[in-house]
Amino acid sequence: MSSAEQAVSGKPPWRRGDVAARWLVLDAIVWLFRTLRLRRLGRATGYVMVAPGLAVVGVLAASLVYLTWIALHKFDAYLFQQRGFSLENFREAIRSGYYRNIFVRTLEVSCAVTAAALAIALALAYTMVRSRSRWARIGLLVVVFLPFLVGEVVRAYSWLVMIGGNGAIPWFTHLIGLGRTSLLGTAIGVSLGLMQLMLPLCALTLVPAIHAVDPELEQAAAVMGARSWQTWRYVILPLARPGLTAAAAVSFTLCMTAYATPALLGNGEYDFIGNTIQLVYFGQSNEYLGSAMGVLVLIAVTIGVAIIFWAGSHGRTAAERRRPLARLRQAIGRTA
Amino acid sequence: MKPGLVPRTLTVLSIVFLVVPTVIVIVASFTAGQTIVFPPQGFSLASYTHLITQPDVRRPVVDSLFVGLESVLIGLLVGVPATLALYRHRVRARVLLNAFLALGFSTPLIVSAIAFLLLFTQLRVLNHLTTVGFAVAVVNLPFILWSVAAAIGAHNPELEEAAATLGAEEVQQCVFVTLPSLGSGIILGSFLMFVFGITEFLVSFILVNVNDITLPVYMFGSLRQTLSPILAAVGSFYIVVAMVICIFAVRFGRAEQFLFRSHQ
Repeated sequence: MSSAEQAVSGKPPWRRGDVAARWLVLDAIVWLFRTLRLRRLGRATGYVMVAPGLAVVGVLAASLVYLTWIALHKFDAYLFQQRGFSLENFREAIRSGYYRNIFVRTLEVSCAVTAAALAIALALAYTMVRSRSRWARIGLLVVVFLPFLVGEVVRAYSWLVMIGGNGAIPWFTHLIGLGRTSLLGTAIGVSLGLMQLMLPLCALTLVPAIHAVDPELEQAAAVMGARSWQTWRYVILPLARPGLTAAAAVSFTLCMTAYATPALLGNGEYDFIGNTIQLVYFGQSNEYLGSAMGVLVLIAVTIGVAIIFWAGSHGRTAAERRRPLARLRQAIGRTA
Repeated sequence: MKPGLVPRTLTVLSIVFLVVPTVIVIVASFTAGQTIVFPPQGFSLASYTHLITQPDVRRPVVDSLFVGLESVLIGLLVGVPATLALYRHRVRARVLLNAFLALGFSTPLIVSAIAFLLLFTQLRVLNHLTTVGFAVAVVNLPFILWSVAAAIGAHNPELEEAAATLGAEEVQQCVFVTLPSLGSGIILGSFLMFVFGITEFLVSFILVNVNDITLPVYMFGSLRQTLSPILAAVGSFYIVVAMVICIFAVRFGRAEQFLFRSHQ
């Protein structure tokens, strides 16, 4: 029998004669698919392929549901047993001044770091996009991408080496006569550590946004007599607004839920809400209070992101945003 | 328009800000002393030899590699078919399913970590490193989903039809046309899953038991004590891995096209 007839006859491929190995392997796969009658799946193929993914992520979804269920139950610390349904955990988390302080601190640092990261990342992204040299763009891309891939602990560690007692910055300040100032346990120290991730993150999110701004718009603005800050305010920033919103949202979320950076650079004195949740879980063995705080963090982050997205799309309609030069002309006309 | 003075100055300052800590870690790993001080004292490779010889460092390295490889395996087996299904087959509620699969990323990491802890304690599976690998894979799944989705986006579906007109049946089309085209996306996704698996901290920290800790957890624990150069060696190891993947992403992963893409 020729190999074509053999293939059609449905015999398994290892029964054939002198066919090249690569084609035997391929024929084996085809035979496997035929015997499994996978073609019968037809329109269900998509659903079958996505099912393992849904199952795997479903484990996380189930555990989040269980978390909320636990948070809603009263906990008797003396008898160490779970009691009935109640909002007591939430009340305790919100009422306590200690937790409130930590939450406010987390919120303040998150907002400050996000704002600073956005401002500097704008400059960084703009240079990346408008650079004439391809190697400069690639070099910047590598420098910016690297902090993502080294992990939270290595990022915090590298700043620990920089700002710790025996680190580079105290050595430098000592050299210029300011005495050895350690930034450990301060807001600045933790913020610098957080910036190590937020700056690249915002820059990478802003690059596509700024790339979408037609360079000819900027040139037209310059021809109209606009100074560079006016070009930024009326042309670039409004058009890059969706990117700014996305960058702000992600940066805010990551700052609010940071763990290793405040733990290491805060030296135990500058805990964030994430560190506190872990303390409540493992230090106090109170998974009920910890779960309630976790749910509160989830709610707070969701509200924060919603506010950011509202601020990002509030105001001018898309049509107005597509005519930045018109507003620029008005602005220049007013100051001319 | 060429960037003005202000953007360029800020860019240079940013580069210094981002690069100096990394360089200092690498320099510090070669110090001859027992702790890391400035200026560095002496040059030696002692910390790197300690990485290989000392068992209390070697064990976390092996465990981290295990978790990383498990993440890659789960990502490939689960993420690639899921992305293919969502973008090339007709599935209803595609947007919803996409958002659901990204749950590990959209939920704050501390919340996911303690949720996993609660569930796995009840299921009594907390004693195995495999559980940690599973949790890390779920949390990092979006990375391979997005890599493969980007590759699918760049792939022209008519190529398979062209292959069909040349006589290729479905499996041949898949092996000779689809997979090579998606290959770089799948490989990039695997690299990302691996690197985020070996560097993942919070979920591993919450879920590991005393006997099997991963490298970032070990590093975190040791950092509460003195700044030992061994940790700098570990940090340098991570930096080198990150550099390799970075260069791969830029060279083969079409990172440039992805970033400098045009909008509608």
